[in-house]
Amino acid sequence: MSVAQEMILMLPEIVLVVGACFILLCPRSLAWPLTMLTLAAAVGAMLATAPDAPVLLMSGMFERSAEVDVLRILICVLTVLVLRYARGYPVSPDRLQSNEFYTLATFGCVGMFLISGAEHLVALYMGLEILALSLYPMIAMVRDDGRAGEAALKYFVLGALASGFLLYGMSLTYTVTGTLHIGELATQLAQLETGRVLLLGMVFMLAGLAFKLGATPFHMWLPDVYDGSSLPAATYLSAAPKIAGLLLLLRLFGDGLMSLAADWTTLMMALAVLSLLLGNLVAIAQTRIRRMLAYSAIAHTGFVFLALCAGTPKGMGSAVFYTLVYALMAAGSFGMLLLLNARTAAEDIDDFKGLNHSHPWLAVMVLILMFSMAGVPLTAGFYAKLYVLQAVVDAGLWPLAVVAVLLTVVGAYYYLRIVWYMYFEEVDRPAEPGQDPAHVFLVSANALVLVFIFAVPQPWLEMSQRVAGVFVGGQ
Amino acid sequence: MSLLGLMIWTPVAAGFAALFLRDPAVVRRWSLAVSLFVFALSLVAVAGFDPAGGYQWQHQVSWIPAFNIHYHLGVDGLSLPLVALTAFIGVLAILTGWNAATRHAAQFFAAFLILEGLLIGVFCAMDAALFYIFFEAMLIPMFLIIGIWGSDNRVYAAVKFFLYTFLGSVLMLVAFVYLALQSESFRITDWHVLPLSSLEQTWLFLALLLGFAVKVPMWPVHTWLPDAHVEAPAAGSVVLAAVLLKIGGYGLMRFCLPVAPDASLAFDGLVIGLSLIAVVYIGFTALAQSDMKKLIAYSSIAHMGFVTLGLFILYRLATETAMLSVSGAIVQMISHGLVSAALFVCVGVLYDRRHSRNIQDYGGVLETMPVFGALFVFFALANAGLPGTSGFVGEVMVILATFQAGWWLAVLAAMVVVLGAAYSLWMVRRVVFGPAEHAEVKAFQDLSGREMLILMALAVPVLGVGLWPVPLLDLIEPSVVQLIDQAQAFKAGGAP
Repeated sequence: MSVAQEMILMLPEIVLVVGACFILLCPRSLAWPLTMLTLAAAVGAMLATAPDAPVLLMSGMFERSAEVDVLRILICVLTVLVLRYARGYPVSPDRLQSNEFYTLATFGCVGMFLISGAEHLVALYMGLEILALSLYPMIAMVRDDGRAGEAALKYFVLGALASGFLLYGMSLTYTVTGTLHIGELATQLAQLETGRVLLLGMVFMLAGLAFKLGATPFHMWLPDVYDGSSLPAATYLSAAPKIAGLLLLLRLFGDGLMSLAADWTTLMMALAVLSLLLGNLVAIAQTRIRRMLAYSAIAHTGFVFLALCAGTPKGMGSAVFYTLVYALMAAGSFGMLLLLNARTAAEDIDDFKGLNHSHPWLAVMVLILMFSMAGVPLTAGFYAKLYVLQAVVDAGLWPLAVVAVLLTVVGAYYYLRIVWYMYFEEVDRPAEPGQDPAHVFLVSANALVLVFIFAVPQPWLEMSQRVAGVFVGGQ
Repeated sequence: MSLLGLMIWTPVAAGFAALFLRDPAVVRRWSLAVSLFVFALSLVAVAGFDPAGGYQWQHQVSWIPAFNIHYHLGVDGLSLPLVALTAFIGVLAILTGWNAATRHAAQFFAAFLILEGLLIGVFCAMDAALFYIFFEAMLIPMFLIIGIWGSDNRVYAAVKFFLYTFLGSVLMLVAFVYLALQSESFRITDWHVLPLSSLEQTWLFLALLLGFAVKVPMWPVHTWLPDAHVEAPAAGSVVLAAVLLKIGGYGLMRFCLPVAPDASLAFDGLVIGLSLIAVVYIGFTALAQSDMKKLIAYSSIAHMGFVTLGLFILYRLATETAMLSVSGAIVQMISHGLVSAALFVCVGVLYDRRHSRNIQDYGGVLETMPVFGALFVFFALANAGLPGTSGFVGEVMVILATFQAGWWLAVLAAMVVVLGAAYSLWMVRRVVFGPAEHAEVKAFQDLSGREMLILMALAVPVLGVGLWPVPLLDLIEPSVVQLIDQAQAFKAGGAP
């Protein structure tokens, strides 16, 4: 393949990087429109250059496939969505709507793009670090808020540690196989006998990723970061990066280390059950919305790991679908939170009290989001749960499925609590959500999409299965 | 759209539309019109139903090929009476709640319409995934009804109701997923013929039983019911008692018995035992209640115990007698739906006047409300199984059948009649008869036209089924025969 052809196929990334640089340098008033333009251009470039079959680029460092492009488009859409939500946030608009913020958000997308296409451990690591290095300053950006600084420092230190774990694991794998290319890794491992060094490498990589994703017992940073950082940064963190994280897992474990599946599924089972247990139980005790959502994120991460435990293409497909639905739910929930905070601070769960009385429409949207999180039918969350359960039971792990569903009953409690605060309680001074019609429209559309996916799930399910197909035994 | 689809989605869509109506008077008329329309459709469905024709009014489209889920509706003799009951109670619930919603009236009626549509969906679904979707989605409107318009302790009751049912249903979901993977289909009729080993059946049976037992509710997972009933508004209690509980009994007939016949046989002692505990122990508990709603709630548990007894006793009977007991159980479900709804309406009538559910706050109601008193006594007697009322038919059928299985079983089962008479009549005596001592009671107005209409509308089928049950029995007979065949078509032998 000629260099020009490769450049064309890398066009989405190139567009994003160039755009990000311009966003940093342009006048402040242009930063927001330029960001939207860059993301739109990246999506356009992706659609225009979509390959028919997966192709390897840059000496096999990256892979471009139409299936994964769909998820990248979703990453762009979610990023646009969360950035738009964040525009209503009144605190420190000089920082949180500055050129720097949008540049970092765009570079974060570059990182996620690289992760989604990486076919080489170094490329994978590079993508991950670009994403992480965009997130650290994003969180720390509100300099006068001590909690934001604390959150950023925590995230940075633990993130660096996790990166260290990951690199160490990668290097151990390299010592055994002599390759960093994920496709070759897969072929080599299929022939090699599983040795201790290899297992050690695998464990380190999994631990590193569990850190990054916030799976118990590596979750400690997550609630503090969700709660401590500025709301826009937390919103950004909560949605699209989850998709990138899943792609990372799929690439590494579903593709590269697939022949070690018998070993890593056992570890993932522990991660899954612990995350579900801790996330769901501790979320009950929270009084702040963001901490509750953080523990809920841990529990949902547990469900994704549960799907991967199945170790089958179906399990991978269900993990993709689950993550996709979760990212939408998280974006919607944070979008709603930003709307609630548009005029007055409303960070406690108590602030939902009486919402039905003052804003019945918004209350219905929150209701949809919460029941979707709980996995109750008439929302997409139900299929997400059903799909994972099906994959898990299909793999013969039905006791695990029973444990998971019992813990979702525990989880249902705290989602219900938001609903009952909105509907059953009435207060003298209910929260005053923002009135920006575009924001209300977007957040409503965000919630209603979950109902739409419930009614017409087939295309989404097929897409998830196809994405999983790219990774499992890809090369 | 098919007839059944129309019956499900008209109220759901109309319910969402009602949310946008501002004027409570308009919302009420709109909801009443929609529920009457659905009821009319249900009569069409009954009129065009051929009892010997198996599943009818079927409508099937592929919905989610990835999971092999179909949008598949249809009714047979087991589900059609329950569909008609739901549509009938739907109208009455709207009438019962006519003036109840002092706030958020639009949401109140919307919740009832959506609930009605989803409940009809539960009975019409022939695809298990669809069944599950309706089964669980229906929790959302019911949760809101109890929580928003309930009395003092409503939050506790609503959350308990939701979590209890959710707990039962998620395990059922795992069972459904397993069955779907084994049969590569979510169609319920495919599951009926799916060969399963006895070990598989045991686990499936227990998961399904838990899901439906919570709903019935069977002792010891019944504790949500008294709370939910007491706290729910009168219209909510009506739907809860008349229809929601029937889903449990229906689920046992549709899933447990035909899907896991070997396990049903193996565990029939357990279910019979739990049913008898419900009949006897819960009967005595009802006797001790001072809150009328709680009393009726416990009475519901006892009567539903009778239903589960009638279903699971079939393994100890000859086919002829088994017919009698299963038909009796179904008649009992319908009858209980009508009678308990009527009793909750009666309590609602009193509550509207006195704002108390305590039996001691009343007495001598007959002096000021003769018509109401007569109707209340009538329904209380129907609850106790007075000959000539629907309550008698189901009870006598099950008790007669049970005699064949053992006289002591029949004696314990007959306790439902004895205790039923005791708590129903004792309540009536303390509320309706005697001298009117409370000044408030002396100032009572007799039934309004609306209240009279509701109670009369309920009295007609109670008497109708009681005096001439043959049409109902004819309607269900072929399906009952099929159910008994399936429940005895043991399949563990042929399984891998």
